[in-house]
Amino acid sequence: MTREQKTISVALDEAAAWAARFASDMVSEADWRGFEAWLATPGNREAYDRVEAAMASVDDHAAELRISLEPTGRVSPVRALADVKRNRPRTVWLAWGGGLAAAAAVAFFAIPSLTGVVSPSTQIEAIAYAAPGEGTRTVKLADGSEVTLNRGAMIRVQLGAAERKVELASGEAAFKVAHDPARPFRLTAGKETIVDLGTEFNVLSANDKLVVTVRAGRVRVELAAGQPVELPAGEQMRLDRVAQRAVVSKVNPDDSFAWQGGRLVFHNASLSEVVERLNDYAVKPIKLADATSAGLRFSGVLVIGSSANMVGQLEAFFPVRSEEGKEAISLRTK
Amino acid sequence: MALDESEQSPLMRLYMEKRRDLVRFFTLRTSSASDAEDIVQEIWIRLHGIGDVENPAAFLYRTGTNLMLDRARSSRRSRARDDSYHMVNQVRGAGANEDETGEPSPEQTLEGRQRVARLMQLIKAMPEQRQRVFVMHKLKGLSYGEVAESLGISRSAVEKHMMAALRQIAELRE
Repeated sequence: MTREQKTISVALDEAAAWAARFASDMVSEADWRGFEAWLATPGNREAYDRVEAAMASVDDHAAELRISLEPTGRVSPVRALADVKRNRPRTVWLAWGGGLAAAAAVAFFAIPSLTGVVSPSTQIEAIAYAAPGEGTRTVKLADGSEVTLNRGAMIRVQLGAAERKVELASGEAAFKVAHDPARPFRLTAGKETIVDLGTEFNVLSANDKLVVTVRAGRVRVELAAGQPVELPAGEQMRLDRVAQRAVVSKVNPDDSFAWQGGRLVFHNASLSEVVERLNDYAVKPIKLADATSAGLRFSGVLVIGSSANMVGQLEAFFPVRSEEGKEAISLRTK
Repeated sequence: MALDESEQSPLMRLYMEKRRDLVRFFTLRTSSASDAEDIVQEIWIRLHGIGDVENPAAFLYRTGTNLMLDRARSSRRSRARDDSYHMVNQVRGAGANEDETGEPSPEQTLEGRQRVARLMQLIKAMPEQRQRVFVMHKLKGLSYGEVAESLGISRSAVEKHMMAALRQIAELRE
């Protein structure tokens, strides 16, 4: 054994010891601190990654290994307990392999198929994603769908066997949904539900409004009151949640997705509409102090930035000046 | 979404205190400062609705480690999917636009079978007690405490058997 091989071998011994430590149900903060110090030595992290990859490989094939090692297929009480523990869904990616928790409580049951059995009653843990503070965030979901969250948006995702459920708690998000007719993709925003029929769409949800824009494919919006609305590509539905009135119009859908590139696009929009849109992003709200300015119209592109920065852009385009107050920034006609 | 500051649990307050430690740890662990930031941010999201836990500081590290492993796993999955997709496209020529199904390719399945076979061989060749501990903990999901009780040995003996088993498995090349 060369000196180098010997070093690697020692690092692997230590890595295995740490891995065995962290597999324990009794781990202290001091263990994590010690591990951190150990990781700082060159070569140790790589050794630990190797042990971890080996463990992941065992986990990936746990069902097959278990069956092969216990060819009788009988379920002993210990086995049933073990299966309950193993199949408790920890995360979404594990959850599809689970679903046996209920079945395992029965004294005898068929050995799980190697691909994983999914029962519709499975309790699948939701994963929440948020785009905190500044900037947007793109999340690739386990089913291959992609969600881009605008700043401040938060979603909860439950990828179940029978359906994919996403809840948009608030804010704006753009969805590229992986097509899977067997598992409909249902997005809930407030009291409304958007059912994806294979598509790319943008949703802006706030207390007083819901705006759904379809770029590709087709979605169905199930309203809290009234008939569902089907939107093909190129159409936008604006729901006024206060008046409970929905308006569908033809739009250039790219404009609704422009925020992903940090831009907002307006076509002949009134200043009050522009300000309303900017307020979705502004930390400090922007207010129109007089009625005259509200009717001013604008076509063009604004860059999403801080409240002050966006107000500066408005001042450049409109004959208005701003006054920064404690609570808000007010705009007046010059 | 605005978080209600008044509803912060003790665990969340501890998180605030340990945030920098966690970022430092995961930066070292993943060798990426931005991955570390993402992981530590996700820990925060997971803390909502979690009540008292035993050893809360270790719980924070554990949660982050699980998140890190989830990320690694899903990127392995999507890489595998991309690979199989590209392979399909190469075989069928450009213009094939079948949906990605996420099914493993025949090659991957074969590789998987070989890996299972090698793992099986290795586990079967383990000393008896080591094998018992490994199967009970790693394959059946019993905790160290449960394994120790059922085999009538100490927790630290369980840990030593696990260490030896993991050391052996790490020798298996991908």
